Amino acid sequence: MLTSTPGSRLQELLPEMFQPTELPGQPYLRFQLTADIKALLSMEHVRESLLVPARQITPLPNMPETVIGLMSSRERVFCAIELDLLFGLRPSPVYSRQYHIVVLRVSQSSSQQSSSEQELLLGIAVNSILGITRLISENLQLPREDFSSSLKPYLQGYVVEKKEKLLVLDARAITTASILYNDPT
Amino acid sequence: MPPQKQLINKQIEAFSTVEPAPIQAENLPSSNEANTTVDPSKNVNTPEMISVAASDYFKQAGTLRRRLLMTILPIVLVPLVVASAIGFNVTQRRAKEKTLSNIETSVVLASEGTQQFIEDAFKATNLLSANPMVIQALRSGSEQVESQGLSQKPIEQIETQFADTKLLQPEQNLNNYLKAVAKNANLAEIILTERYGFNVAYSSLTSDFIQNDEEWWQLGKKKGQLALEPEFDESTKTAVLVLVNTIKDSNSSQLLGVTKVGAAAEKLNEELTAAIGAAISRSQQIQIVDVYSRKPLNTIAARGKSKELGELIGGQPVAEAADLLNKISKNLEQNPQEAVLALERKDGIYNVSLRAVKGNKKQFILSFELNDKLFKLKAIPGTDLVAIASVERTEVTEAGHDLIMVFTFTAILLGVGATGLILLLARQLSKPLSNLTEKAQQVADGNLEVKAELEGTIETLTLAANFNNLVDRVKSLLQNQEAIAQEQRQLRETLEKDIDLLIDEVEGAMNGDLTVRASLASMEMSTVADIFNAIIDNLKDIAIQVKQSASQVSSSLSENEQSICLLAKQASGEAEKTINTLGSVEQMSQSIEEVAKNASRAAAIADDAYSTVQESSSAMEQTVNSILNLRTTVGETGKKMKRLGESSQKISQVVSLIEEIALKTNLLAINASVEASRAGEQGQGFRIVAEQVGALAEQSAAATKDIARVVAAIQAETQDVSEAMELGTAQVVDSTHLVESTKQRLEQVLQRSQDINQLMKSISQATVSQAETSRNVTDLMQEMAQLSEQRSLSSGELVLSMQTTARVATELESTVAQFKVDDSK
Repeated sequence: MLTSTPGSRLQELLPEMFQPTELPGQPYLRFQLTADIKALLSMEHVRESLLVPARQITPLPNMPETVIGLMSSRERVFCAIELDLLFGLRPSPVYSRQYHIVVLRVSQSSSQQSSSEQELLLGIAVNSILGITRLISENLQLPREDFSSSLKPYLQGYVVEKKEKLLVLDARAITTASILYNDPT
Repeated sequence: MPPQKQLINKQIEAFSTVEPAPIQAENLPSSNEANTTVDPSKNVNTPEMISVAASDYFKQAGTLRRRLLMTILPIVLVPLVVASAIGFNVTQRRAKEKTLSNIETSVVLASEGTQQFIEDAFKATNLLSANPMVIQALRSGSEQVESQGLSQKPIEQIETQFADTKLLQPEQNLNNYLKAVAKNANLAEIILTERYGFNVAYSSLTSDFIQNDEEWWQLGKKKGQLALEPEFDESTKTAVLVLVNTIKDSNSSQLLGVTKVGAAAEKLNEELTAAIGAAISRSQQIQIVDVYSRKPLNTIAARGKSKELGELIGGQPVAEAADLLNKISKNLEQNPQEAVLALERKDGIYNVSLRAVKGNKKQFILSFELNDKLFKLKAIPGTDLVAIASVERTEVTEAGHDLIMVFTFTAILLGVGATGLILLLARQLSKPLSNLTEKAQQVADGNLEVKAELEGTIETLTLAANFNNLVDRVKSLLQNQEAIAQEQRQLRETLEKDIDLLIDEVEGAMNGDLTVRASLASMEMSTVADIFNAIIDNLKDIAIQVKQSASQVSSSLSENEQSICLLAKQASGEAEKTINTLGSVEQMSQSIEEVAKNASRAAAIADDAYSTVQESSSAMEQTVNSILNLRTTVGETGKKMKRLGESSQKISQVVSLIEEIALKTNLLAINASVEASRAGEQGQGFRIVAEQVGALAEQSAAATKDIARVVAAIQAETQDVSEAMELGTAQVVDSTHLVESTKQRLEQVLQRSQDINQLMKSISQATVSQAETSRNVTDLMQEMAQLSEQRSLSSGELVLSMQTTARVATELESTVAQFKVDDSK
């Protein structure tokens, strides 16, 4: 971003607020999956991003290692998982003081349950949330063979931006990951 | 006669002459003149000797004639000169006195003449009072004045009224009478006024008619007969003597009128010249002076040079003196003598004297000298006139000067006469004595045949007779002496013969023949011959002994000569060795001097080293100080580094806070974007803004990460620096210790170098004293060398002298061999 005084910058930004301008591409949430890997998630499925202290997450017994526990936000209770563990990028969970949590919201089709359209909420803990990036869908490249098998089911593709490879994840796939619903026993 | 005999003869003669008169021996002209040697006249002083000895005394004494002249001439001439001088003096004084009295007389005469002249004038006026016509005219004039009241009227009016004639009653007869009187009495004018002062008659026309306002009139009316101040007329060079008189009634003695008579000074002058003109000497001048106006009426000089008026001779001082005299004459001065003495030395006046005129005690003559003139003053009685006579002082002093020639001439004449007389007398007295003296001189020269003539006075006669007797006696004495001398000569001749004989006999001894014998035949010479024989015998013995000794001496000399030669050689060898030793000693002394120089140089170097070490010690101390400073600086720097670490820690805390805020902002922005997308199309703008805010927050997070990294790097470096610092501190401490120890070593070095320095100094001093000692040794050696050289020289000389001695000994031997000795003995 350009460097200038905050006042001038505010003056620049305020009119934009109320003038709807078409920006190219769809918004994606960018975050650090691991220390090395950055990843994108469509904002369409992002409900909110939170910084949650570890004690506010209630751990659940008899759950896979991926699941941290239960947490609440906006009067809703949902599960929080560690994404890198899910993707098999890290062998074991590490206890941390606070978590960067992205709350995903996926509308469930009525295929499974008879009830009306339901929202499925899931908190995914990432290394760190970076920000929002707009992505033009044409730039999206399909995943190739070199990605690991544990990661591949959740991938939509990848983009190269500023000589950096960004993974584009599929929020629906993550929320519906079988490991979360299958009894490990 | 052989030469040897002649020599002996001479010697004998010398002995015989020396005995009687040893002082005369040198004066002997020859040995053969026997009569001169015994001449008794040689024993007394010769006349030449007397003359030589006494000539100085004679010169001082002078002849009798000169003596007489020298003593008698002054006795005659001095009284003559003195008498002449006294006579001249007395005569001159008299001449002076005469001149002075002459002047006085002329003054008195002048004064009396003037008095007479005035009295004559008064007589003329007295005639008027006896004239009835005059009295009548005066009386009528007075009556007219009274009747007309003229005395009351103003003067101008009356003057104009009588301007024509200037007379009360013009009466030509009276005027004519006055004219006649004036002419007779030699008067210049006569004016007649009545008692109120109005003109009655006159001899010539007057300027005024009314005279009662005039001074003369008032004075005349008051005092009667009176001589007033003379009136001077400068234009005509004349002076008029004014005389005033009153005319009175002979019966009632009532004042009738006043007359004024003017007497011309010219007339007075004529009279005075006639009276005293002849008595006036050359420079003498007589003036009649009025004391008030201080002007002379006339001047009378010698040879008719008299004239009227003129200047007052002597000027102001003389005028003052005249004034004073006038007062004295009129008894106005209380103490005349003192007043006169006051004049002395005033204005150059001197020799003042005042005395009364002879025969008149009331009249005085004042005399004094001023400048080069002599003044005599006399007051004229009854007037204010003073007669002054002046004369040049040279005239007075010259009076009688003509006499000096007469006196001188007379004295010279008398002196010449006296001298001639004395010369004659002296010659007569001295002639017989000088004749006698001449004769005595001839006798003294040896001429004993002279006879003195008998002449002159008794004294000279006696002297001449005695002289003749004396000469006769001397002659007889001389003849006696000649006879004795003849006798002595004969005796001598016999003695000579005997001696010749003796000499012939012993002549062989002269050639070394000691066997000869003198015969004892002669009576006179027997003793001598005996003694001679004894001498010959002794001589023979001596000759034999000498012969033996000479041979011994020569043999021992030849023995000694060799050893002496050896000695000389040794001496010269010793001298050479001494010289060699001297050379080595000199070398030694040079090397010692060099050592001394080096020692002193080493001392200087040690001194330098000492000072250098001192300097380095101080430099070391400075180093220690700076190292200590460095240590404290390093410690402070360490502290600062620690503080910097703390600060960076705080920074990292702040940075983590910022990072958190940035993260939360980012999350909020994402959430906002989510919320905006929910709002649908309306929230589209907001969504974009939220996205941008998020991007911003992301960037700040990145920036904070950078900051954190930088801070971490700073912290790491700070850590490194502080570690290095600690290491440095330790090193500093080490080096401080090292420097301290170095300093201690240096101090030790300092101590050592000081010791070295002192040692070097003592060495240098020692070497200096050593050098001196070696110099002394050198000097001693030099002296020794000189001495040994001298010794070698003297031993050489000794050898030489030994050789000569040997030669002399052999010569002696050969000489002694000449003596013929009887071999039997």
